[in-house]
Amino acid sequence: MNVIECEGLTKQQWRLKALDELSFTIKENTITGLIGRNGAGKTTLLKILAGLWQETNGTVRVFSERPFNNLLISANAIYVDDQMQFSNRLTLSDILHEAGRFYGNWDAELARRLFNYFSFHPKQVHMHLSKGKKSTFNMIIGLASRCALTMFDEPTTGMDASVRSDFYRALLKDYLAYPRTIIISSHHLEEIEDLLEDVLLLDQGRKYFHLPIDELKEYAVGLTGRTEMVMQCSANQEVIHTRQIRDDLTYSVVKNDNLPLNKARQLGIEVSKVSASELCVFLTKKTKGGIDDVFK
Amino acid sequence: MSLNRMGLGTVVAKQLQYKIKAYYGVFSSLVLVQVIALLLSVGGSVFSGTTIYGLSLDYTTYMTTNVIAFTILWIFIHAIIMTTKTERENSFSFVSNQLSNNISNCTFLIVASIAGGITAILSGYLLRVIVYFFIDIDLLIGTEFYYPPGEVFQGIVAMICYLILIGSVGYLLGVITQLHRMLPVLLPFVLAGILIALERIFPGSFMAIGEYYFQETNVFPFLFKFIGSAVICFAVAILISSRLEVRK
Repeated sequence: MNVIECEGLTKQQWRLKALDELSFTIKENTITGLIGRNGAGKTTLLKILAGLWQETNGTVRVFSERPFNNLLISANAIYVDDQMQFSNRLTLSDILHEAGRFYGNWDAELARRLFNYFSFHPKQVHMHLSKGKKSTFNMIIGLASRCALTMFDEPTTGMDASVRSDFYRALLKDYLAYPRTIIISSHHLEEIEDLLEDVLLLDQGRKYFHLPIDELKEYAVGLTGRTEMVMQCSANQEVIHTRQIRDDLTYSVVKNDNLPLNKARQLGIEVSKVSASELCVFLTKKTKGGIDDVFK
Repeated sequence: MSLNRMGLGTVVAKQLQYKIKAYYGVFSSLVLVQVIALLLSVGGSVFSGTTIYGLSLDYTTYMTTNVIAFTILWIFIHAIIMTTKTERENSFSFVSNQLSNNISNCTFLIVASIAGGITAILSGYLLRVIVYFFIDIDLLIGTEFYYPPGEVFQGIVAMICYLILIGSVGYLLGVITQLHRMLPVLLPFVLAGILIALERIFPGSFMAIGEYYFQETNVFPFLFKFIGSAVICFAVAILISSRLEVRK
């Protein structure tokens, strides 16, 4: 069953198209990574899916209903980011208690255990938490609410390395115990790629691809070798990225589509894997060249 | 995972409960505002200089208009505060949509009006007691020691109606200012302009509006006018905000 169906979804914000003719579906009980550069439209998409924002054009269906201003969606889809606000007249334990009244699947025991594990003080006020602590607390709400659609937007903002890895582990364990549809947007694909089943890559409001993570790992290969050899080998192929390492040495990332890899190796080209996160960066690079060219 | 279905009524009830907890400060500020107003009233207004047959007469009037005015201001300000961006975003951290949020806000304002109305009227009796026991006066006129409960009740209901109406107007104005960031600055001028223009074009319309609401002495038309106007304000606020996006 499809939990999310988008068809030609467009969101116009002032003059900019934050989302442009986006079409995709997400199946029930999967973990999807929403990847893209800054300003690619990840947050816009998630806010539309959560029913907070309204689409400009196209259709969007979550649990077969239009999400905007929809109570069913609000009760079954939670959107967690670092901007979550709670009344500063409530303590953290009050907030957890209130969340429990609103969400039907709320697991108070899990919330309490996580709350203690991350050593929160029950009488603290949300507003006074540090950036990382805020993200951790919001994450507890996201996990314990057990919403059928759970969306994390940059959930690890401000978290230190150990809390980040704890979070990923907690997410995976809870997902295995209580399968649900989860979407995580992140800039750190390398951290979450073991968690993900699918990756939806956005670029300037458009869908670049929506692939299972395993296919993404095989999507392209890196070729390192003498420039003319690499050029010869990648002729008529889709070259994703090229970098001159030395005068006569080139590194190219080429789409792995019937590439004559054996022939390449015979030509003395080193064939290497391209990690999913590197690949996403290469694919969505807006300009040729790198930051170095700015300072030339 | 099966979906949780929650009716509008359930969500509104949960939100109201949440808001009474989160806006606890509204009630404590009510107490503060009324205590300040009472203290201001304890002095009374002194009138002197009436001379009848060589007899000079000084008299002091004690009135609770302060309390009533402060309570009206209190509900107006809180109604506007409820519509600000931060408060709206707080409400949307849990299950909510615009309709349920608006209805629970209106219900909260009604609850607050009831609390404000009861305490505002009763504080009038408190003032009499304070004056009787603690202020050195020679002669207490115009105060009886028995007040028919029916009269007290009428006063309370009327005060609640005033508060609900003012609260709904404040809420409506607050919602309108949320439509565009220039509006909080512009709206007061626009309103004042409209009122001045109204008075210029139809002289006496101010008085007419005042009379329409405040000269009504029959219970049912009174209730109808106040509650009807409040319902219209709330309904317009709901209509306006139904298209608003949250967490912009």
